[in-house]
Amino acid sequence: MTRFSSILTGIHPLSEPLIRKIFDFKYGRTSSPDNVKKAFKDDIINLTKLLTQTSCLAISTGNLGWWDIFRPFSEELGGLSTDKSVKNLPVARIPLTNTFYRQPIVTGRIFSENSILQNAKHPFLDGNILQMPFLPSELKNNAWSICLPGPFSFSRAAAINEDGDKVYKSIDDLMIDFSEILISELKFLSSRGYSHIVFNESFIAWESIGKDTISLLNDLWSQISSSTSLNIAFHTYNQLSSDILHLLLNSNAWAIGVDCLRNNIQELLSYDINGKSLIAGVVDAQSYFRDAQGELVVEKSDELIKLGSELAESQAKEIILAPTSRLEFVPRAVADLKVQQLGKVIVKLLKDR
Amino acid sequence: MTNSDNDPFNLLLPTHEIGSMRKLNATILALQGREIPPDHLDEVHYWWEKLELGESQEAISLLMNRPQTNEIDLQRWELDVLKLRLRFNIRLLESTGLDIVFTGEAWRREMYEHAAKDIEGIFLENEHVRSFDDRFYKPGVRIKDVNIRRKNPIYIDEFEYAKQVAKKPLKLCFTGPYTVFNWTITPSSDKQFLFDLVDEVFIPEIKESIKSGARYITSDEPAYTTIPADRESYIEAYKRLFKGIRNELKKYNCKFGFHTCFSHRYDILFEDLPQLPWDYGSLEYANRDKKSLGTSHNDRSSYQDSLERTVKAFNEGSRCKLALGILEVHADRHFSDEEVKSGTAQQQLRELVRDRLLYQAEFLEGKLGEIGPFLLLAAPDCGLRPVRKLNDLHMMLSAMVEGTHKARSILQDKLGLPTYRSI
Repeated sequence: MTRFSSILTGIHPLSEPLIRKIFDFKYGRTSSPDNVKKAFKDDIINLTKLLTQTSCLAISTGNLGWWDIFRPFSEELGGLSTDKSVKNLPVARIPLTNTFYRQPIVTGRIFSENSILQNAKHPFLDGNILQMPFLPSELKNNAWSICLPGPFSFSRAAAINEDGDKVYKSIDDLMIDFSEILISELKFLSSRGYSHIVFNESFIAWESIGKDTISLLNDLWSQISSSTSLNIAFHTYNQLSSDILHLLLNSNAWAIGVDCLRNNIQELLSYDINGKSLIAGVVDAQSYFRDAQGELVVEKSDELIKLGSELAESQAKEIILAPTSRLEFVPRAVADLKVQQLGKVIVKLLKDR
Repeated sequence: MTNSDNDPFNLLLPTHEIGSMRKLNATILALQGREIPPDHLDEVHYWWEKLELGESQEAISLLMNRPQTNEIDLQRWELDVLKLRLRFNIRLLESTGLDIVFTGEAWRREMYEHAAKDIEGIFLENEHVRSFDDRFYKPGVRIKDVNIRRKNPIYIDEFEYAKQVAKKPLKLCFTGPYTVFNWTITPSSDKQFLFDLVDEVFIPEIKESIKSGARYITSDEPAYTTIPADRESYIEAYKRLFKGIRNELKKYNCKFGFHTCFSHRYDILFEDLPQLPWDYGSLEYANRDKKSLGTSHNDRSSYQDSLERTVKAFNEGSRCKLALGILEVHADRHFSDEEVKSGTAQQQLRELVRDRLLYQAEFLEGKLGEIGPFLLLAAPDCGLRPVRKLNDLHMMLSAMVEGTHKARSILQDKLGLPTYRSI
């Protein structure tokens, strides 16, 4: 019988109370960051509680505190320019969205003497970006997941300057080195109790990719997956070419992530998923309606249940329902509602089977 | 053809800026009904004196005397504070020497929100979402089964007042229909929504703006090229818009342009240029350019592709002048306070702007002859709101104007170019 669960696949939005506290601090209405700290902690605790209540396979802190998915690497990786501060780096658009990131500028061979994630500081909370001593102790026994930038996406999101050009003859060479960095990060994450790692490869849908790069990426994904006993997923957003679908299907990862609203499900079901788990993007992460009274209108649960049932016909080891991308495009209240809705759909699907 | 009239649009390298600027702190606090600390009042004194805006005590007195009870008095007072802010912005921009000035979005809280609040059919959320870092905005959501309609004029009041205080040619800038469409959350790719925005909101708004005296109008379209699949809809939307306003544009000799920034796909934009009768456009480039001086291809390689595309678009019939950003909006962060105070920062920026423009102008002159440099405008990458201190903003724009004047002078000496020329 197919197992159903859910997972978060990227940075979760900050709540409105937290954003207001950040504004107060940023605009000098309060000089102490204590209120921001408290609100950050509340946000993280509330999210983890929500995830434990919604059939989540592996709970997470929603990468709250990461200004963008590349940020700990942009700040900590050797061989990148910080131009005095990472906040001076150019701003680049995340393709197909109205959101932006600080572009890593490669000035030399990238390296890290210690773990990047071990070094990375939280922008407001004391200490390491992964260190959450305030979380309720009962959560420690849960499976934990985290989302990281995949090698393809990092290499395409970065820019190589003239100094970097002397080291990297092509972007693909950067992709190779970044994969090595990721492999060493997995050791650290394993030691910190993480069990599921979702690599965000969203940039893969936004350009046409040559066969040589696909072949190289296949090797790199395979090396990353084989390097660890952790459950490794490669997650994509938006419509994929059949070459990329095949790349995902051929990988030896624990799971692959596909936007099931923007890809042909029947085509996906016609392929052999090779016993992998499928992170199925079934809830549109970027949209909803309001009705004339201002009430929120989200996807109908019946439609999600039908989609989940169809996906259960695949050969996937497990169907992990998810938003189609990170939920950061919508306000936190809406994002949380979508997570709750996934939980309800899973309960119904499990009951029906 | 040499045009001897003094329309700044026909100037060699006319300078303008793009959009919003940081608001004077005292006006923000006053409008929020909060206490204004002495350092913010000192800032008012400083600027009123520097810009010769009149008695600073009058401004401070207005800011400090918020009506406490009467709603009508409060509304009048709020309008007076907004007028004060707008007059300040315009004087500040004029004092930098810009050829064409703007309001700095003095009356707008945020570019999307300002438009969406006056459009029936869009629900403005109370919660924010992230744009990047610690920057957030309130998204709008399409209301199901409610027709799109302009509830009120969106920008005309601001322009009407700006017209009264501006001494230099004034530009009107609005958030474009595609960006409103793209930034509004909606479950389906409902292109009719975009066309309704054009027909029901933007055509009437622009027509009224032109009748009100706007002669340089910029449609701010940062979302253009975000979704390449929307390209045809974008073109169709703007064809509708140009058709709807063409009589007014012609009658009043109004120049209509666009701005976009932070795109991975400028290639699309350049390919589309000949399809629409844009008079001008501005794009972000300094953000991706080197910060060292020089005018060779190697020094300024970030501009090269787009200059080639500009030539191609011109040869295919486009007469759109382009500002390929010469001033990074975060340039202040590359300098210490000491470097700003000593004038080193201004000098470095001035030289960088000069070199960026010289490279662009000489490239186009090489390909298109004398007309080439007249296809260029001089502008920052985007609105200067990220600049944290108004003094830095003033320094940056002054440096941009000075660097442009230097480039203009070098080009005239070297290439014998006239000061004005229409294309």
